Amino acid sequence: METLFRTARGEVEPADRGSALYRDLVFNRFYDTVKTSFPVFSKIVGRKVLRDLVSDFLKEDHRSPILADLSYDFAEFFRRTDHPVKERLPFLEDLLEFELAELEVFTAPDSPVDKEPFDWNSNFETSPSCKLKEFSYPVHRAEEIEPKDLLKMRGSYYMILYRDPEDHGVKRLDLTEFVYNFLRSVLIEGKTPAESFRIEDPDLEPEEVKPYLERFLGDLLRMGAIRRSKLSGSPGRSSP
Amino acid sequence: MDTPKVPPGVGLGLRYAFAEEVIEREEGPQWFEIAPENWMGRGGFFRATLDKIRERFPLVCHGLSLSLGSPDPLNVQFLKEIKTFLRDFEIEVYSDHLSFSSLGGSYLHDLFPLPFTEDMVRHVSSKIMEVQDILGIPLLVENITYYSRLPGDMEEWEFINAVLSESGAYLLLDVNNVYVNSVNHGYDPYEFVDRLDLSRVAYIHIAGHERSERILIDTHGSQVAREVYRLLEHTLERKGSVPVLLERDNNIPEYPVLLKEVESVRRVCERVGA
Repeated sequence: METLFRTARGEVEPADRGSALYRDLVFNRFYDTVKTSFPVFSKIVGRKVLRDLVSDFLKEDHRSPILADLSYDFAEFFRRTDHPVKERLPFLEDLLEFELAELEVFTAPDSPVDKEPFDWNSNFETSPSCKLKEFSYPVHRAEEIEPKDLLKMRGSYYMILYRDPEDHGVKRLDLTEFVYNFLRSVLIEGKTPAESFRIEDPDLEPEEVKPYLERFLGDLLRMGAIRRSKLSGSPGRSSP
Repeated sequence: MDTPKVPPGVGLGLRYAFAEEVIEREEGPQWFEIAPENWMGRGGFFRATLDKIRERFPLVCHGLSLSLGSPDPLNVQFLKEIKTFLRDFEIEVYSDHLSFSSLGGSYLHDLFPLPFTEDMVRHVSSKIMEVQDILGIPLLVENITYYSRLPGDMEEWEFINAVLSESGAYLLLDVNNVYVNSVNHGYDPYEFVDRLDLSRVAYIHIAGHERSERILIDTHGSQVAREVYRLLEHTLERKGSVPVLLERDNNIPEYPVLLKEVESVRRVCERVGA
């Protein structure tokens, strides 16, 4: 049993046609799963590199009985691997993380929608079907931008991904650095919106920004993208 | 333990590719079979789709990852998640395969054959009984296709019968797998069926296979072959009335085309009075 298993994961040369077939079947299953989970990444690296990567990935331990969890394992494997494609196309790690975030948002378990209206003094967190992300390349546009051009676009790209409660599709909103930092402070660092609201840019007027943020967070709350965290008691009443 | 409550008639394996169409169209098979691993722990499209489908169709679960023959202990955490899923969707039938797919805690997500030995009969049976204890329902086990034969001193039919007898499990008999194995390993598929303890068959799987070089591969990627239909007829004549399920995993055609194939299976069942 052990020899067959090791042959199937490509560690041992097949002794016969049957075990060679198992090796091919397992490889194809892993290859197809990675390709389906990360279509843009797979297209950019090309068939040969993807086969190399999957071949190495296959030899690792895969602890989940759920096939789809290979996506998480592969993203983690790619972070660790020193395959030369990473040096040639340094945006790939970001791209993989973006495609993984889309998958996570699409498949995340449902969670109850917070029915209370937004307030400035509660604590909030992202629901499982929402991801706040920062990337160093515009990987969300990798399908339409040539890799050589993408390489020239290094910078800071901020976005929030969430699941539409009506059609279950993944929606993305690009964020300014100011809004991202505000959301990061609220949703990741656990501060209240009131504590997080700090305007240092002289071009931004607090009276204009505050209602915008209130509406924006209110919408995210209604759509179930964010919710009150356990840190939070009952909704507060004051605003900053 | 009670007899498995498999819905009567002909069912179809539910796949993402046509799940939305199942909701939109009026016609359908008599029931659906789902792989719990593909749906559990998922919300959004997955939960909403399955909720709608189960309003109209009975569901049964056919698992992939129990790895019953592995020397590893049973993955109890995973089994508890299965139990929660079965309870949430009120599903009372659960099957998996007479195979192993993990070793040393690592999963390769394929179904590898077991050695047909008395030791393996005892090992698999004890794991099946553990599963049944945890779930509180009888487990159904499916005969797999195998392309390598591990050393053993029993015939496959003997092995299957021994496991059913020792564990109290029921058989999910895949007639396509019997046919594919009979060609690849050179035995008579009819004789194989006749030697099985058909009283333990809870339902039957039927699917397509493909030829690759000199062997047949169980791809579930084409229509059911004529020879497999004949073997199904033979099995139904021996067994009598039993539910049948059509599987399709690759080259999945349009849903109406699949429904026509379901209809073909149903006609075979009717012809033999099953």
